[in-house]
Amino acid sequence: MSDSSFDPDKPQELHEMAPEIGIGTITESGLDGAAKDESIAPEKRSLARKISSRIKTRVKNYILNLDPRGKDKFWWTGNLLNAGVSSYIYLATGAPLLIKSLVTAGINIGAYAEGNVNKRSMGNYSADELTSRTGEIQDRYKNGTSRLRRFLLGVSAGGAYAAAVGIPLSVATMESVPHPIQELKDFINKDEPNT
Amino acid sequence: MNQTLEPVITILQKEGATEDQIADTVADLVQAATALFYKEAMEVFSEEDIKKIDVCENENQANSVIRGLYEQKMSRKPEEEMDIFLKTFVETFLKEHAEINT
Repeated sequence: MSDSSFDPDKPQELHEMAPEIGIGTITESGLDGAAKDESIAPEKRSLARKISSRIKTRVKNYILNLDPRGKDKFWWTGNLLNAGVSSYIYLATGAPLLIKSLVTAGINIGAYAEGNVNKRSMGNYSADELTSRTGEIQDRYKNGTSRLRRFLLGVSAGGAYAAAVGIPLSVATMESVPHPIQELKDFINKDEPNT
Repeated sequence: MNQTLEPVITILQKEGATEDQIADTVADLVQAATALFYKEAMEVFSEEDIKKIDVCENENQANSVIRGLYEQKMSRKPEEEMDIFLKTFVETFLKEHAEINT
């Protein structure tokens, strides 16, 4: 993919977001290919396709338009998960206990993230400072920050997708093992968009 | 072996969640993880780090730079970070679900 054609504000296909095929990263054609893969149990293939579809549309657009300005720190962490995960299950089943379970998991993930940042942070930014800093850096380095988001989306998508449909990433991405994800290397070497 | 979401998916199915809803849940996890990792990166990466990514000639080079910076700054691979994220989610979900049902 040529950088000269890259526009961080333009919706990108997932295969353009994470072209690197390393352990954990995955691309659009990898998601599609894996959904058809015989290594996925037949009863998981429909779920694989649906996850792929959501990542390629809703999640992709959200991440590429991620802008911290005007958001509070909870938007970065717990609320992001709580709002998304809990509502669907509640509306479908009317099971409030399940909501509580999911919301608590979301909060704890937020706490995990906060703890990790606190341990490793070199800047000791407050939430407001981080929001402001991120916004300014995104303005100065649109390409760099968009590349970072796409890379992290590839890692996250690969991990969650594999975890949901039963693909062991450590095996699936080995050079010697034929697998749709591995076959993406051929795609990466092409300039043309995958169809 | 990487973390599996199978225990969570099994419970969701038993609770009556549809395949579409399970797919939405997984997509929400992807979205949340990406946002969290981005937040972490923006806190830990210096502006000079981002500039290095910005000026790379192509995406593959940029991804290599990002991976190197990530492992250097975070002391683990991004895939390991995602695995920890998923493990945290699954453990918390199962624990909370068990408490609710006792």
